[in-house]
Amino acid sequence: MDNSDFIKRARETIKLRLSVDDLIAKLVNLIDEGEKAENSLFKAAYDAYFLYYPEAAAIISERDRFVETLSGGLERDVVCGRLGTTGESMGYDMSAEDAQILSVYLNELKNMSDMRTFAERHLDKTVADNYPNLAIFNVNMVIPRLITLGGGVKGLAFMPSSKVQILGAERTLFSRPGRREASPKYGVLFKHPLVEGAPQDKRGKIAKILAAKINLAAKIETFSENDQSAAIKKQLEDEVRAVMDK
Amino acid sequence: MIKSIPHERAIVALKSVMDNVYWLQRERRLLVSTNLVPGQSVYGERLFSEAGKEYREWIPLRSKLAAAIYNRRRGFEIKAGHSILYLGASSGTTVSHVSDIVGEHGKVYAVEVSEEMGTRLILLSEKRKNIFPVIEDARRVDVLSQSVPRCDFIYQDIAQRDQVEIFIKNADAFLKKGCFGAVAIKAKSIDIFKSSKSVIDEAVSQLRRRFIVAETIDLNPYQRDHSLVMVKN
Ligand SMILES: C[S@@+](CC[C@H](N)C(=O)[O-])C[C@H]1O[C@@H](n2cnc3c(N)ncnc32)[C@H](O)[C@@H]1O
Repeated sequence: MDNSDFIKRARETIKLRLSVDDLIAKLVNLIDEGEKAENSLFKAAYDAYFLYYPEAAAIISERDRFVETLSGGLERDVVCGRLGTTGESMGYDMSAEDAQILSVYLNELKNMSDMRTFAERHLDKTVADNYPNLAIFNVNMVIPRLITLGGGVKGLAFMPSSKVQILGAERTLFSRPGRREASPKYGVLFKHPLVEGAPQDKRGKIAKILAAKINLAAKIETFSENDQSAAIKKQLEDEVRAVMDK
Repeated sequence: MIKSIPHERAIVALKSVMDNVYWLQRERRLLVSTNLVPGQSVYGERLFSEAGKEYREWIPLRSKLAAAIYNRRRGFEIKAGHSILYLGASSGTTVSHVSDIVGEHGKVYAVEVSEEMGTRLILLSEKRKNIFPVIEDARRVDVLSQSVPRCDFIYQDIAQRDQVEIFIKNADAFLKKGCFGAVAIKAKSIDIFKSSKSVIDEAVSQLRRRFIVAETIDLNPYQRDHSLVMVKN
């Protein structure tokens, strides 16, 4: 007997294990890591641009604004018209060659930013195509992140909803002895507008409702695959309203 | 990665350690195994040839089993033609040498849980017909027993908290009576709050309840905080 049957089975095992949930997790990771790279490149590019045109840099110090504004050209005479900044800059007068180098990096930054937007949109579509019941909760990458942290949709279906509620909560690294830390009320779910937008004292309750519904939706995806999103959405709205009206 | 390396010349002498494993006497002694697939190096190890046969360097910094042979100065009860169960095969560094030892009539059932390492193991198995890859959690003895038969030796290197229980379960299911097994104990992975020695002592006493513990081999300095415990079924 040679090993070809074992090789065949081993390949099948790996093939079976790699699922759309893995794709979702890898995309989340690409987006997060891409954004980290984007942030550090932005810091360096910002510093370089500040040297050349500090009056403009000071106004567009927020990353996305910086990238957007300079994507149409970084020269002072172009930018001053757009921002209403002075043409008589106190900055260092870069040569055309210096500016060229800087613009190559700025262009790269713009690419990274576009790529992230594109990937996020694709991620939303992937969730919607594969998990209609979960998709109704998907804002700000909440569902992809829960799928990633929960070990797949199946993982979300099998865990108690109280655990779904706190997935992704920052854990305190060093809890002080003799002092009971308040247990977290939400993790990833804080990014959901229903939670984030709720008054402080109601966020925990809203997060609990959301978690229960997501848990339910994950069960439906796992066990029946029907699209019951309309009914879940209605229940969610009713329950949230009841809390908010109290 | 499998690449060919130009053969180093002139071997002085070979001294047998166990089937297909030798000390190569050069300026310092060097452990080598007969290359089952001549011309191919598996992980960058050097190849040597002598009297028409080819040997692969077996590096103790890369392989706990090699480290154990260096420190023990003797081989193990693994022979040509044996069936071996190998748990925690990873990409197959050590597995490839066990594959050299058992030779073309032997079999290495190599269990690995991770997809990434498993993929490299599968690619290795395509080159070495005596490696039988199984992508599975070693805890799933029920699944393993659908394809793995009873074996002449079990080797385990998985660095898990419950590694001793896993080893015992597998020995119960797959190790022939009177045969040997070896389990690599990583002191740190079981409990970071205990000293290496007490972790190893605990593992040994746990093993002693089930087996005859033949020997504990400290793998320092090649593999820090590791020991290899040899047991007899
Ligand atoms: C230290 S490495 C083994 C190195 C290998 N023995 C060698 O010398 O070439 C440990 C391997 O065990 C695998 N592993 C960990 N837990 C496992 C489990 N429960 N079942 C199977 N493999 C496992 C890991 O994925 C990893 O590849």
